[in-house]
Amino acid sequence: LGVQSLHDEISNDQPSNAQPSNDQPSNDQPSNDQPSNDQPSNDQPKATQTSGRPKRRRRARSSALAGLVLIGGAALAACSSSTASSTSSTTASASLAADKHLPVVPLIIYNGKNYLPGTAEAFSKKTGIPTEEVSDSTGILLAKIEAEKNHPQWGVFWSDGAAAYAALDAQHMLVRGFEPDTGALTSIGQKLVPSDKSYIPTAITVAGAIVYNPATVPTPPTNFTQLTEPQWKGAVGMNNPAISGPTYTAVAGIMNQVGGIQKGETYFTKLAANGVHVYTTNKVTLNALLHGQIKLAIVQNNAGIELAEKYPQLKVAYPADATVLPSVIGIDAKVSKSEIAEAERFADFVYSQAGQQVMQKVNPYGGWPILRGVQAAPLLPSLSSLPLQFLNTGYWGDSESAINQWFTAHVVNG
Amino acid sequence: VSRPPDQRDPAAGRPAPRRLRLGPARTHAWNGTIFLVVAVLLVVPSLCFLVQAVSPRMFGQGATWFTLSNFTTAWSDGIGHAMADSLVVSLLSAAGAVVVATVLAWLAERTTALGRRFFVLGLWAVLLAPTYIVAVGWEEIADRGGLLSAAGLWNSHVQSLVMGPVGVVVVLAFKHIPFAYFAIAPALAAVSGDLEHAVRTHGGGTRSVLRTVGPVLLPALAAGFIIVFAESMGDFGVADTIAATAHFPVATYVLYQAISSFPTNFGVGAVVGLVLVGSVAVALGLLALVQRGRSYAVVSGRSRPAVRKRLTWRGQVAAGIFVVVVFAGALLVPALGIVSSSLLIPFHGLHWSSFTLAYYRPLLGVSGLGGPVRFSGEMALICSLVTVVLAAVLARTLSSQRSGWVRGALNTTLLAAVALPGIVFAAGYIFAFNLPVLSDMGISLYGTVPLLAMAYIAAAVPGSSRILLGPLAQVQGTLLSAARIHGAGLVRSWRQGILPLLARPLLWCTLLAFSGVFLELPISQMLYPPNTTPMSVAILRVLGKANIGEGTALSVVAVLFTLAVVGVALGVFRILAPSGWRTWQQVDGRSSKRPGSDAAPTASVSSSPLPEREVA
Repeated sequence: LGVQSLHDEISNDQPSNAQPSNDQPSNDQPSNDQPSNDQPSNDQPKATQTSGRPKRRRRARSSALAGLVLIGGAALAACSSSTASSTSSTTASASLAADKHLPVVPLIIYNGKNYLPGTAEAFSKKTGIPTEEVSDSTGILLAKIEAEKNHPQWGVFWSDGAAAYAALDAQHMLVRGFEPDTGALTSIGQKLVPSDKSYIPTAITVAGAIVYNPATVPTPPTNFTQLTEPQWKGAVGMNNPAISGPTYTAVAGIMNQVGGIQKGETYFTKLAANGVHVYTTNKVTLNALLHGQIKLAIVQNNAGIELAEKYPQLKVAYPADATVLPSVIGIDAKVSKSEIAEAERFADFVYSQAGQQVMQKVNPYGGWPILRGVQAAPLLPSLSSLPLQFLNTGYWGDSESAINQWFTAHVVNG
Repeated sequence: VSRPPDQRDPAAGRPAPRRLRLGPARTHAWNGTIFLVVAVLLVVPSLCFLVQAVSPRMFGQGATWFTLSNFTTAWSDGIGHAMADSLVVSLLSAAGAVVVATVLAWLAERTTALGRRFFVLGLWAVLLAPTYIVAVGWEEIADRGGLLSAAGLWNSHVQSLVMGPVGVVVVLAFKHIPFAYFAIAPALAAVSGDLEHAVRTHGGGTRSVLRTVGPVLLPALAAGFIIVFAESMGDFGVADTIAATAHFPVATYVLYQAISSFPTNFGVGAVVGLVLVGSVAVALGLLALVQRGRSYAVVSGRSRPAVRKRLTWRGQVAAGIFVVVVFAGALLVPALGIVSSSLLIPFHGLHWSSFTLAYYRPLLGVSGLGGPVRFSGEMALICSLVTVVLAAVLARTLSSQRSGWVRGALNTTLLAAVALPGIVFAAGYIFAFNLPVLSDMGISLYGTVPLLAMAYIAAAVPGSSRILLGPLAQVQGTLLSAARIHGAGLVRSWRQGILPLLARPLLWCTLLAFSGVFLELPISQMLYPPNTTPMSVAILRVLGKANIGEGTALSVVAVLFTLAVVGVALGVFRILAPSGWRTWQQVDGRSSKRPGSDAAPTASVSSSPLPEREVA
């Protein structure tokens, strides 16, 4: 245990997937009439690490109380009661953002996006609300969120993939009915908003783009079905969808494209027979491409663009029916009213022009903007030129576990 | 040799070491405190995770209080196949490591092989390198675009070998040679001249010597085998690198998949954890069965050191080749792979122009990288000091306990913890220390630096206590008693009577814990407090940007930093420590520095048959 692997979990890969279906039930939606909150709020109390939040005070005492934790042996016995207390219903709190009487507490952001640090800093500067960041791959963050289910610690969760948020919403873990009004969504952006407004789309990426080197592959495939042809034997690499969330979305997108799960399994069986290489994460897959183990790497487009930016000899191709993978913000329904209000202000800031500018500055290839009046970064092709595909979150989200299991058995280990 | 009728040392014919006896009340209080600490640090978090295999509702991870469905799911997820792979790989790597370690130990302890004084130093260097770095180093050598490719020596068969099951076994075996060595070498040195002389005196040849000495070595060989087996079963670094790319699923990978995929399935992860612990427990049980009631104590102050075999020049050459191959596989190749990956431009051949410092430049420009180094450095320093104290206490308790159940329970707990991968442990800490009931009581440790420190310490203590068990078991209680009789207080008795004997093992144990904490990933990832960044998480962020060159460059910097710390610590020790601390070989007040000894950090004179990381 002491000298433990540094490589145990790698990547910025983000589980999961798919697009929202607009057929989700709308539960207790409040009116969305709160005022814009992206204006400087000079009347906010000065943010201090000790003000307001009971959790912070408790943390300060925690060192002194560490010895008392010896009663931890009672944890197993106590846990059942804690479970029972965790089933409170989702809070719809659209009006909280406007409540300036709530104490200021640190806003804890679980972050799977590369542009958070600058964005959070700008938000704090603008609002006086202190932020605390936990950045990791989305898989690890989701594992933490699931493990903390009885006693959530996060206020905002920001990552790629809507299906995980839909699943969290189904467990009543997300604030519903809130939608920032500091920016106007494009028509594509509007398609991504769930009917119960339980999460907030902030950008989109493509789950399955193809990275290649034109020197070795002058004509990249234009469709995923071409990858089963002999000319690509042993030349294709991709991530394991059970570990890399965006890859699951890509796999689901291909299955959707070829006519469903059964036909999709047939397709991937052929792909496996054609020698597809399945790696753990983007880093390994793209490294295989860089080292010539493969000629084509199927990865999330922003990972490919980041690599292409460093290695100009590489290009990113978008096969037909590129599957949309949105970046999403979710707000924890079980934290204090203060933190929920601050989380909503954070989402407002992200939708504002100031927030969008910071995001683009920090990470121009985090995704295509979905707010009107915001231009995409140069290496991102025009969205209108891409044949995009939106998946049904409910259907493909429910199938994720089974598909990953099949994929592991027949393609990864097959 | 094998069954002492009483508590007497059969070789020396004198009373066995006297146990330090406390009053019953103080003994109970002491044992209670030890168990409480171990329970809080190790048992409760581990159980909180493992219990979800059968009761997901206990921590809100499902609807049922009791179910066996996770076992079914784990089976359909391929745990059977993965477990079979893990078992085969672990058995083969353990066998390989034991064979190599035995030869290496023989060369070091029983021959005049050149450079034998540096073997131990090299083995500690192998211990300090995380498994993943060794694996990635091998990959970077054999990959298309790697060092072999740049030198025009790339071969698809070599690549297939390295990036397949063979590579998994080889890397695990190389990485774990030190564990086997530290279990075997002292025993090999200890069965010294008496037995051999006796056989020779009676006209026995080499075969007779082997037949006589061999069985005496068996416990040490078994101990080395078990430790490597356990370490290989729980290894994550190779599982996530070579095994994952080779379509060769092992148990830890299934566990990782269960936890890091969505929806997160802690239940299946817990099943895999149980199976891993179970497999090691079965192996330990078999070993205990074999050793039950037997003592292999053959060394005393009267034991004569073995005469070293003087190697001919041919022997020296053969020994040299063997040693070079071993350390090349364990150290040189991975180091070369990692360093070349951080310096070479892929597919540019091997010229001066192929080398670049481009991967290092972004690291220099990364603002705030000093923060992770400082944070992890401070954590590593504090945690390693606490770890070594706690490990010494536990090792002493293990070695001084006469009653079976206290010793047995503690021993089993510590060994089970060795078999649990770090990510299981980290998740268990969340379940255990994020309970609302604790917050209601005003105890909010989750998300704080103290909890992260507790987890680091808990992860480092089992291994450290195993390392210290051998040296501590050899320190006889009579030393303390003698000091007390001469008027020394308890503290002074320890400081002047015991500490000099244990200075080196304690120092190396501290350094090992330091490097482990400094580069620890799974616990850091799951438990680091907001707005702090441990070193391993910082490395991961660079690695995650799809540029392995920068990642390996940062790994090189991190490893160099830990090696520098180790070097400074050893230098300071050499300069400041009293000479007696640096050259100890005395275990019972009579024997002195053994001729030919290399003053290794391990306890080289053994009155205990299974020193170091053996199964007690």
